[in-house]
Amino acid sequence: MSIAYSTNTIRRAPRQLNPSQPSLRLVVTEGISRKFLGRATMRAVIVLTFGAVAIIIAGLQLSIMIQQGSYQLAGLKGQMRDLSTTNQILDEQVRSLSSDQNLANAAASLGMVTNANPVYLRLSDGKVIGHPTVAGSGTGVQIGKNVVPNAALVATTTKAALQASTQAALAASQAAKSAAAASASAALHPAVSASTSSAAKSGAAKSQKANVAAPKLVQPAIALSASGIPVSPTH
Amino acid sequence: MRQNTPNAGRLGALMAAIFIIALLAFGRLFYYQVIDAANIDKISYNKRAITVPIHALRGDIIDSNGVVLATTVLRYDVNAAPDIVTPITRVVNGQPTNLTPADVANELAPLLKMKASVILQKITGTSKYSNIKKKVEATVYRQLVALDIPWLFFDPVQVRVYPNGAVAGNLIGFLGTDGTPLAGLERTMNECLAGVDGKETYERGVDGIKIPSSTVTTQAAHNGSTVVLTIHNDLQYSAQQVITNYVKSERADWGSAVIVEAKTGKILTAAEYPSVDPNVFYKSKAADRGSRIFQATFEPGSTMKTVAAATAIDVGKATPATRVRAPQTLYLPWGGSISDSHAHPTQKLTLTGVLRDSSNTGIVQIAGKVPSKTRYDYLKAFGIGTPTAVNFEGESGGIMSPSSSWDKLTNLTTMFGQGLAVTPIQTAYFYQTIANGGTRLPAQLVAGCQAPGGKLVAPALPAPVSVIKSTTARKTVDMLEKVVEQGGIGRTAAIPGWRIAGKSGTAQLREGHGYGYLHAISFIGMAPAEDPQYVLAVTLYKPRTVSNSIGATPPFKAIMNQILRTFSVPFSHGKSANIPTQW
Repeated sequence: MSIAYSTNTIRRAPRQLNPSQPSLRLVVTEGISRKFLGRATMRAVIVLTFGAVAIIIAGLQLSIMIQQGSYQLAGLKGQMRDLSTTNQILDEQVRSLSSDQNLANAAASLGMVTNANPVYLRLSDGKVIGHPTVAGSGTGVQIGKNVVPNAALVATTTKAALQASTQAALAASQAAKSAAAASASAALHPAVSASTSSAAKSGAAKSQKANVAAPKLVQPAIALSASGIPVSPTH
Repeated sequence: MRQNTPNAGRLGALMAAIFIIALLAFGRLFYYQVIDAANIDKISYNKRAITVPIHALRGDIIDSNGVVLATTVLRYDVNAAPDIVTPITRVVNGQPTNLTPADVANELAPLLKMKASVILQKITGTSKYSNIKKKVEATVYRQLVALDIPWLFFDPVQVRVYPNGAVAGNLIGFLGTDGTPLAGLERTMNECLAGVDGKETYERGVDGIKIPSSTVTTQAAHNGSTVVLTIHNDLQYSAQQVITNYVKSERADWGSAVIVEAKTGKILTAAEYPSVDPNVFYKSKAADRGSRIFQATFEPGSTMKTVAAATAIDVGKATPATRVRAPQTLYLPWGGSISDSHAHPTQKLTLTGVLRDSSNTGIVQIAGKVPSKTRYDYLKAFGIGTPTAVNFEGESGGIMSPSSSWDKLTNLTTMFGQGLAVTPIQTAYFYQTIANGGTRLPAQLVAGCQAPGGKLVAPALPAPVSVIKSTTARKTVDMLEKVVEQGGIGRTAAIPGWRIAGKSGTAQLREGHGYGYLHAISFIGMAPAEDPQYVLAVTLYKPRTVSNSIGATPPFKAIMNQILRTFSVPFSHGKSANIPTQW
């Protein structure tokens, strides 16, 4: 970078002339005009200056971006913590709702007890195996309500929720029934339509009672069944 | 320059002074930059860098179907810094409102379920730390965070939760409040369950945000592995429901039900009452916090007649049809006597009939043909005297003295289960041996340990023990089926649709020097008899409302019904073997 071109005439140092020696004179390089040289210099300076400034700005920008990324990372980490807290809360609720104790209590709240004398129908020969007995009427102890303690129940199924889901199941089965009636293909599956109608019947008996308690719940339940989403008995 | 002006001397002195100062400064600089640089760097780094521990999560305990029986969740300690407690300003309905610490305490009280006055006391003072409440639930924590109180701080802490409460609680055990495993599988399987904590070190600015491009050293945390049990959660629960109800209704001290898969030796259920809810183990009596199935011994009584009969058949001294005259009381040549529990005239029974009527006088005449040393060896092979392969903490191996020390009476009583003691789990494996063609499989409670994303590593198990011939085992099952088919008590264990084989036991219990009036009653059986798959052993200890094994068959039947339904066991085919029971 230290190339320089002198534009001034060279001053000689005062000394005695030796006539036999030729005097020094300026040699101008051929083909390169001074103007051009000046422009090239300017261009180099400008490019270098802008380059340096651009590098500084880019570096600054990068630094700012990294800095921002660092804050964003911290923010996202916080969000992740928050979401995992939500996840944990929901997990605990699901585990509690699906625990043996909650299910047993929900069944007992509907008046259900364990049948100590199950009766089976053998399909191969139509034989009835077992002796139908009213639960709890025999010698055995009637097993119904949960007796196994659980202090981890953070969420339990309420009777209202059970009734609401009964409503929803009823509405779903009715919707399925009407859809099946409309469709000719339903005739190909008599077993399915039979089970649906029996479920609808048992549901209808319950809905008479449940209707009094929660008449408004029928509407959203129909909307759900139309979209084909199965309704969970516990929610 | 001229040399001898006064100015020159002053200038020289000044230059020298400047030079010395510069030298000193340079020296100091050299000291800071080169000699002490490392140390200063370290001090500076320590001011910026923080080390955050990464807590490893303890592994879960799950049942054979993946139902979570023990897991770890986060709870939050709520702390305050009283020295910076000030009134806070909050915008309510667009209006900035000032809340005094007392107002905040009132706001916190219902969330923390504490008295406002107590909270106020805890947040007043000059200390930098005051714990208000420990381990609040995540839902409460979230509500507290939403209040945005600048001087409240939350520390997450790991807490063990048992989502199914007392289901298998006696087996699982529990942790102390500080996280130390105190009992059960939590303690014995700790090596598998415990994780290794990690840590992360990084440099942070004043605002607590990590300085970009600063070095982060991370030592990863390794979460604990999952313990997979052989337990079937649903069966375990329904068996506990049944046992709890019957222990209460018969006013027994305790009761147990063990279900073993005959062909694998896996324990599907080990239900007992009183049971412990590991979530609140401290609410149970200390004696009820272990597992009596593995730890309690009792004289088993007549369920051991099956072992005596199998031994006699195996050594060729008897067949299921071997005839015997069984009187009410058998008077022995040396002056002693053996009596049956129920009054009856002398009966002409076969060995099968002896089991059906549970005749003491009958069994001692038939099994008595086998030398006592041989019977002792068979009892040992069936598992008496050695803890099972589960090796549960504090497990008993049962009590049996060597045959050489048996007196004349003990020699006879061991044939019908008196004079020796066993654990409920051992009784189940006597019958597992018979159900599995004479081979006793090692008892298995833990299916294995599974690292996160890894394979299930099964525990090393001892080799199966061949106890009796498979033909003997089959004959014994046939005899036991007759017990359920014809026996007075046995019949009450029958389940329509399936062939059940089993034997009752009513054992007298030692009280001081003799036997007391309370009993240990049991019924142990298997189904389906044509090819036994499941063994169920039910024991009730000291029931007050019944005094014989008629009290053990209803819970047996209720639980066996559940087993057959749970595993959709096909209806039995064929008929029981044609063996005479009397002559």
